This record gives sequence, structure tokens and C-alpha cells, in this order.
Amino acid sequence: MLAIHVYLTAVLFLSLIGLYSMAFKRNMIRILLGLEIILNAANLSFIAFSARFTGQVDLLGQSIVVMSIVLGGCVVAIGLSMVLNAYKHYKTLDVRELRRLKW
Amino acid sequence: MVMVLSEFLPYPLISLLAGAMVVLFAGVLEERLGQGRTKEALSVIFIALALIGCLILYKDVTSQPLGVMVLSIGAEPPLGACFEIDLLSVFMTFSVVFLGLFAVVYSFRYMEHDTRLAEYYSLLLLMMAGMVGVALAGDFFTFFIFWELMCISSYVLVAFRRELWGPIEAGFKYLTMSALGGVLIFLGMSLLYGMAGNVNFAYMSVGIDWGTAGVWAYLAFILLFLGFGIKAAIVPMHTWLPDAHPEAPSPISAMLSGIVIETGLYGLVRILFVVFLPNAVLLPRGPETFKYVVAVFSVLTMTIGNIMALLQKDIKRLLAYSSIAQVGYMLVGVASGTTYGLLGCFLHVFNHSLMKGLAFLASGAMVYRIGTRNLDEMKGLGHYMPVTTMALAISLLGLGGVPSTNGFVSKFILFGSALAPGVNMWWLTLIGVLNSAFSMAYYLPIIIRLITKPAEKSSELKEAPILMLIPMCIMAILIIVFGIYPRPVLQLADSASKALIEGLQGYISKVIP
Amino acid sequence: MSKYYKAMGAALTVFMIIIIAYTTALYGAIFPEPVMSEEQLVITTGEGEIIHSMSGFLWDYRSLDLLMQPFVLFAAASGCAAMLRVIRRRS
Repeated sequence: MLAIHVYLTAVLFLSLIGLYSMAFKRNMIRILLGLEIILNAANLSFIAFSARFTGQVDLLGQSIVVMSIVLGGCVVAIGLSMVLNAYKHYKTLDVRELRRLKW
Repeated sequence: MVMVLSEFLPYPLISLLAGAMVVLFAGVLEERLGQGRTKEALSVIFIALALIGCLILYKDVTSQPLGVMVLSIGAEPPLGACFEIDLLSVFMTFSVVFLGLFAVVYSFRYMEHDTRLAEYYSLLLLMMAGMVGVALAGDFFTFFIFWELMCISSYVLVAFRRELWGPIEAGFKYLTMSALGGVLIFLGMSLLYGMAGNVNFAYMSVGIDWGTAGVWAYLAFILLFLGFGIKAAIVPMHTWLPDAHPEAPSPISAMLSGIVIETGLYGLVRILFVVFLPNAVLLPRGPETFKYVVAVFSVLTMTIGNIMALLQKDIKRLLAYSSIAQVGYMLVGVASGTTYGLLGCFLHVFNHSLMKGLAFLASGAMVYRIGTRNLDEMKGLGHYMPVTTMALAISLLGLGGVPSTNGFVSKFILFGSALAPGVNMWWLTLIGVLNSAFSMAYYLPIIIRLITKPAEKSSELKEAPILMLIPMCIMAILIIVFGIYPRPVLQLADSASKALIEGLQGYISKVIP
Repeated sequence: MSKYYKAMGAALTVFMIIIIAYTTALYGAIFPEPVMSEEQLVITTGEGEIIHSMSGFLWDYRSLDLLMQPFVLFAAASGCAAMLRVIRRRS
């Protein structure tokens, strides 16, 4: 079993990738993908903590991950339906075009 | 059926969740058959049932030995998911359902020209169910599921008028920022889970080895503070709010501003006072750090909220910035960390839900009649809509903290709490009082503009419909009544704040014997 | 400089704080171990048994969450319907 710090480093990098794509990507769908990446970083962290001690598995962490995947899917579904509506109005997926409102 | 369900689900939650399903199906059937008003009637009935359920819940909780009630299915907590209900949860539930009732009655006329009303009422009930669940949950993951339920419904409700570009744009921005907040809460929860081995609130309070936690505890706190701060619109993270609130339909703005952002504050208070503050003495410079972080953000929030509100021309945008300032006042009570401060905080949550709810509903009625949110075009509107203007004036004076409105009572307690002997944050009181006085600089011009003589006579403008006026008048009367006679709410908020601080041992011992 | 970039700049500043705190935590401190009674919290399983004990655990211990999850799906479904449904005008 690897030390917990290795997994935590991976969690840090995954969340950085997600944050980067949420902050700098122009495509609205990529922003939602960035969100999903951060959620998966959190999931990885739960799994790593649940299997922290050799020979033991804490089922609590695993069941939390099973349920959180569904929650993430729901948020992204709503986000995509909004992206579709935004596309109807603006004919583009570029998030910088959405600035008629004061951002 | 209800008796069986009530063994593991609290009454208000049963009523709201069942209502959401029934209303959706009734509404869709109605749409097929032609016009009808069943879905509106049903949603009012189910919310009224939830209000009665609140009273039953209050009786149940007070009759329990420690003032804490635990409901779970199957396995017992701490490992099993559970509701852990104390008086603070009941207080928040009551605030949610109370404001929801007014918002739904108001929606009858306000939303009558929109389509897809079945989904609208269903999602409104689901959003309230999510907030009630957040208030009642005793387990962090159960809390998170209800949190997502609340968030998902509110994203759609903000962007509900999809044929306009504004709501869609505001809704997408709200979704990205708020979902990021949810994910950060989840990340912070995973760290707490790693430290405690469980996600029960009471278990996390005693199960963490705080001696070695050190930096990790602070990291978890930062993540949770950011996550809840995004929802509660604490200042560096507030940028979604001034866009989302004006673009949402007015009853939804009232709900968002009145109670949804306070739910974020409730989550912060719950995790801070159950997990972090009781054990903060074990951390290096613990108690001061947590309190001063909250105090500094409180100062930032109220100052920037007030300054930005002064610059606005759009009435709903102005009210949105004013909500940010009010959240800053509530944080003063949290920063003091005493029972008295929390009493002020939660009293202000209830009072603010009435005042800001009324302000949004009244300004929504004006928007409904004149079709614009621009303050300059509202000049002289008071001559055509006297009752609405009266209600708006009362709510604005309440928000400014004029004596004999309920805003004065809660602000008095809030700012007094920072002066208490053990707290000693006189600068917080000073800045708060100055801000509160400063805020009148944008509340009063609205009232003046409304009651000046209009330039030319117009015959089309008339008073808002009676179904909008009824909830507005009741709320305006309640603001005055609770300002002159605050005793009932004060007692309820007092026992709620005592349940959080003095009842903490009972809260923990109910789960870990 | 659009307002969009300002908002994102504020967000990035906040995230820099997380990153710095996270790295100091990662290389400055050992992760604390839970204070727990083992048989109460950790369920020990052999290899390959996790899948079987998993569904049992979900039903026995997390039934409340499992019961509430359909409502989140319900909210998402009716939300998608509200956002995407095509309205037919009645003649």
C-alpha cells in the first residue's frame, strides 16, 4: 500500500487541472468537464482514505463515492441543458460571448 | 402510510417531497386537459401541511430528553445515515417553510403568463425540501445530498425564463460557481473523513486526533469556508449573486435572497460550531484564527456590499447587493462565537427572510406593472400603487435598521454581541454600525423617488393584483409586529442558539453513548 | 479587460491560497489517523468480497441517502424538462 500522501498529491494535481479548465477554457462544455474533474479528485480522495490501512476497506467511503457520482451527473445534466439554451440564444459555445450581463 | 414514514422521515420533509411529485403530475395532467388551478392549490396545501409538520416537530424535539431527536432507517448512527434534529434545525425549517408559503401564493399571479408551471411549482417545493433536509441532517453526506437537491432546483429556477438571454446567462454563471462550491465542500468533507473515519457531525466532533491534525485541519476549514462562502455570498466569492438575483423571477429572488444564501451560512455555522470551535484549543492558535477569519470576512462583506449597492440603478440588483451586506452583519454574530451572537445571527436570518422577501416581492409587483427594473423610471409610482409602495418602504426601513421594525432588534443584538466581555471586538461593532447608517444612503432615495409627484399622469398604471397584495401586506404587518413585540421569535432563536452551543454535549452523546 | 476576467482573477487568487495551503500540508505534516474503535468503523473484508458486502452496506447503513437520491434525480429530470421541453401551442 502506498503512503496516503501520494494519493493526496494526485488529488491536488487533479483539482488543479479542473480549476485550470474552469478558469481559462472558453468552451462552456469544457468548463463543465473541469467541474467533473474536481469532483473526481474528491472521489479519489475518498477512495484513498477508505483503503488507507492494509487489509481493511472502509465501506463508508466507497458507498459515498457511489452516490456522489450520481450527484455529479445530475449537476452536469442541468449544466448541459443550460448550454443548449445558451447556444440557441448566442449561436456559439464561447463563454466570453456571454457578457451582455455584467460579469 | 404517513405514520410509517414518520418513523424515519421528519414531517415537513414528507409533506414537501410528496408535494413535489403530486404537483408535477397534477400540473402535467392539467396541461393536457386545458386550463386549471389544481397545481397552485395543491402546492399551497402541501406547504401548509409542512408548516403544521414544523409545529409537530417542535413539540417532538422539545419533549426529547436532551432536546435532540435522532431519526434513521436500519442501522444506528454514527455509521448509518441519520437526521439529527435540534431546535436550531427546527428554527431554520420554520423560516424556510414560512417564507415559501408567501412566495408560492405570490407566484399565482406573477407567473401566470409563463409556460411549464408544473415544473416550476414542483422545483420550488423540491428546493424547499432540500433546504429543510440541509437544516435537519445529522450526517455530512446526507447534508450534501440535500445540498445538491437544493442547488439543482435553484439553478433551474434562476434560469426559468429560458426565452430571454439574461436568465440563461445568469443561470450558467450561478451554476458554475455554485457547483464549484459544492465540489469544494465535498473535497473538504473527504479530508474530514480521512481524519475522523466517519462523516457524522457528532462523531467528527470527537473522533479527530486534533493534536496531529494541524495544517490538515486548517486546509479542511479553508475548503469548507470557500464552499459555504460561495453559497452564502461572502465577499470574494459573491460575484454570482448580483447577476442571479435580478434575473430570476421575483418570488425566486425572494427565496434565494431570503433563505437560500442563509442556508449556506447555516452550513458554515453548523460545521464551525460542532466540529472546529469546540476542538480549536488543541490547534496552534486555534480559537483566535477561526474567529478573526470570520470577522475579517464579515467586515469585507458588509463594506463592499454597501458600497456596490450605492452605485446601482437597477432596483433588484440594488437589493441583491444589500443582501450581501446583510450576510456581513450576520457574520458579526458568528465571529463573536457566543450564544448571544448566534442568537442575533439566527434572529437576523428570520427577520431578513421577511424583510428581503418582502422587498423583492414588492419590487417584483412594480416590475410586473411597469415592465422595467430601472429606478429612474419608477419616479412617482407611489401615486399609482400606494399599498405596494408602503410595503416596500416598510421593508427598506427594516433593512436599514430603523427602530420599531424587526431589523432594529436583530441588528442591536448582533452589534452588541461583539462588545461582550469575552469577545472584545469593538472595531467590528464600530464598522457594523457605520455600515448600517451608511446603508440608509441608498434605501431612502428609493422611497423618496417613489413618493415624488409623477411628471405626467398615466391612466394605465394601477395597484398590483390582490393575490400579490395579500402576502405582501401580511409580511409588512409581521415586520412591524415583530419589531414592537419580538418576544416569541426571540425566545425561539434563543433556544435555537443555546441548542447549538450549550446543547453540544447532548448532541454528541445522542450519537456516541 | 472584461468583467469576466476580473471574476476569474478573483477566483484564481482564492485558489492560489488553497494550493499553497495544500502543498504546505502535504509536505509539512503527516496525515492524522482516526481515533476509533476498529470494529465499529472499519469493515474488514478479504479481496473480492467488497462488491458483495457493498450493496448490503448501502442498504443497511446508508438507506436514508439511497432513498433521497431518487429525489435528486427527479429534480434533475424535471429541471431538464423545464429547460428543454418544447411547448406546443393549443389551437
